Amino acid sequence: MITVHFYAGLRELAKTSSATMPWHEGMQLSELRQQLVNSWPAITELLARSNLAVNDQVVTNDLTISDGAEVSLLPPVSGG
Amino acid sequence: MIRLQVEPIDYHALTEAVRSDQCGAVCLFLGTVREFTGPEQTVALTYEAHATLAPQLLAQVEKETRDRWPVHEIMLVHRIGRLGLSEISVAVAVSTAHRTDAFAACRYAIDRLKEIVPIWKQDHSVAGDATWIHPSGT
Repeated sequence: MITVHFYAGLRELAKTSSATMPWHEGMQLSELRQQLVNSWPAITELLARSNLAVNDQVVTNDLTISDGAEVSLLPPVSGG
Repeated sequence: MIRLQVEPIDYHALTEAVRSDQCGAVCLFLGTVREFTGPEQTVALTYEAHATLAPQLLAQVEKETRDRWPVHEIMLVHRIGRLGLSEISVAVAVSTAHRTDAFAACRYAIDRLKEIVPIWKQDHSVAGDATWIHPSGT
C-alpha cells in the first residue's frame, strides 16, 4: 500500500487529506499519478502542475515506488 | 536559522539576532498581507506548510544563500495560520560585511523561498470565499 497526502487546493478538490492506494512490484510514480486522476477526476488539472515527494524527497523524474511509501502531492507553492 | 511559527513575527528581535560587530550591513525583508490584488479584495490569508518538507527546504534556501554570498547570519521565518491585513507573513534578515551582499543575499533568499518551499496561501475574499492560490506558468 502507498499512503498519499493531499495539500491545500488538492485537498480541497479531493475532499480528503490522505488516502491509501494499492501497490504492486515495479510500480512507477507515473502510474500512481494516473490512478489518482482516475480516483479523483477533479484534481486532474492541478495534479498535472504539482510536484510529488516520496518519503520527504521531492522527485522530478519518474521512478519506481516501494511498498509503504509516503507520497506528498505538492501543488504550486504560494508562500511569502 | 529557519523557523515556521504561528505567533506574530518579531522583526525587531530578528534584526537584532543577525546584527554583529563583524558586519556593516543588515538587510530586512518583510512580506505583509495586502488588501487588494487588482480588483480582488482580501480580508485575510491562511498559510499552510508541509510539516517536514517546508523546514527542510527553508534550510536548503539558507544553505544556497550562504553558498553564494559571504553571509554572517541569516534568519528565514514564515508564519502559518490565519493572518489579517498588514500582518507579516514572512521575514528575511541578513547581515554581511558590506551592503551589496546584504541586498543580494536577502533578495535571493526571499525569491528562492517563494519558488521552492512548500507553503501555500488561501485567500479569504471580502465576499466570503476562500481560494487556495496555486500560481501557473512557473
